[in-house]
Amino acid sequence: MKVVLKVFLGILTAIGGFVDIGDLVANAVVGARFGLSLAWVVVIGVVGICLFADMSGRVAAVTGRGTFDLVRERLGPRAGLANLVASTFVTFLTLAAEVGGVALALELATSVSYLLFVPLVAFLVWFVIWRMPFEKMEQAFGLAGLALLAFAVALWQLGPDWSELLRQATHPSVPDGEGHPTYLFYAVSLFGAAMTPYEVFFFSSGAVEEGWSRKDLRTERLNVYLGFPLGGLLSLAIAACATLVLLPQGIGVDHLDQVALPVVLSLGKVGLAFLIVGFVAATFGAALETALSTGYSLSQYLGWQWGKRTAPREAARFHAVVLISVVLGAMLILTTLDPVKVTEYSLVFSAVALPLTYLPILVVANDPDYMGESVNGRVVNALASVYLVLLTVVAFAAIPLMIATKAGQ
Amino acid sequence: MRRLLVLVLVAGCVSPSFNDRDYELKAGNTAKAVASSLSTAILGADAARRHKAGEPYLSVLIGNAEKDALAVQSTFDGVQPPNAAADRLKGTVDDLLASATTGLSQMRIACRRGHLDRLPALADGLRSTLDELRFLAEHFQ
Repeated sequence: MKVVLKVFLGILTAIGGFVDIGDLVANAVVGARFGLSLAWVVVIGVVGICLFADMSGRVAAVTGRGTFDLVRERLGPRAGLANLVASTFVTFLTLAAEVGGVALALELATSVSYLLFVPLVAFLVWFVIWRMPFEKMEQAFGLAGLALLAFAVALWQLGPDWSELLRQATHPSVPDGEGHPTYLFYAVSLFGAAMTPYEVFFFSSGAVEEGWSRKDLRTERLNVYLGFPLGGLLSLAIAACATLVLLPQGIGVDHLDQVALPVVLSLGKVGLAFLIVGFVAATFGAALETALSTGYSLSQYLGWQWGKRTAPREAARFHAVVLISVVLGAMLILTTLDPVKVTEYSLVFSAVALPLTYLPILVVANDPDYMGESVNGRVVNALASVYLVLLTVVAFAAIPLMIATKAGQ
Repeated sequence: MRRLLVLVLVAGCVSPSFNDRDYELKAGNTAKAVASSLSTAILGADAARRHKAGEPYLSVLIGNAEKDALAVQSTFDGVQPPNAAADRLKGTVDDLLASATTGLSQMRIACRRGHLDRLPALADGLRSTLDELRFLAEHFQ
């Protein structure tokens, strides 16, 4: 019974933890502009993140070591450094966006400028990382993030023509008045949102923090292969709500308040209350994960002591990196850069960094010296190779598409 | 020489608009962006009419819609109309933008004073402006 409960809790946490500010913004923007014609990107992104999260979780469970530790050892410091720089930059931008996202959610509840909340949010992120046990932290914010299911309830309440939504999702086409480059730019952003690099680093380092071993692999697989796809369905519900309410009115999404509008119109104040709890939990949880991820990646690469389970005195440099990242992220948002814009750019840069993040994981997961009998099977390798080609194409296309479309205008 | 310098400086302060068509496209995009802000605020007023949202949320929603509309208006003001026909188009768009931003401002003030019951009437007053902006946006797509 205890095992079943643990698995169930893990799946719920994975669903709630799947959506972050990038998913919220990207899905609402795309739904309001293209309907569900980009739903296929979410599906491809979810399959990709499941594939690589499972791989990195397996590597962590079998070796008991963090991703960057192995990447540097296996590929050498130079290749590891390229991986480190690219993913740390993207993770830092994402952290800033998440801190801004929490502040924006609090602004919706109070109408007090989000900028006033940023220092408080930054302090709380650091404080929770410092004081709260890892497992409790992950579960608390993952479960509270389930409040975002308000999107799914609102979608049902809006009484959509399901066959029309299904038609849009299964017959992708560029809507009238939109160009192919813009359509592809948003496809890249949505893909970047689903496959954000920090998710994999956090997942694998978290596995080490929680002391996973081979016997935990079944639980890990259930979390990944049930939790993430259900989180992907939640992303599609966000896009569908925007499709039904915002698209017919010609509303372009530029703010978090517009993301909430379909739920408000459908479920009223109760729905909004749930949504704000969900926004805060999802973005705060992701802020914790990104802050920890910067500490994990740098510490693992440089061979420092790391992890929340290690006493802060013994992992002082790890905690210093986390603290500095949070402070710098908050400072970036306090420059009055729009957090939603920071999110949109972080998704594009995330797409650029994808091959650098996922190729080393694939290499390590195929090395019998590390993995023994748990190396990737043929099917996983074939699928992962297809994804690597796709990730490379996306990475090369991201910046030219951003320039050509003026970031999707 | 001084005139040339002024010309260069002024050219640096405004967005280039090379011909009629280019200006019309800019006018169309401006109308589309402000129509988006107006639609957002009108949906917010609809939520207020049905008691589905409170003051804090609506205040943020309408405040952001107003800010966006003002930013678009300011950008359009900076675009140099290339000829007399463009001057006439500018006049039409300017009038619509002024009506939109004034209406949004009134909605924001009413909202922050807690007069949510006034929002539907104010929103109704903006519907004709919204229709004209949508017409312009479609016409100059």
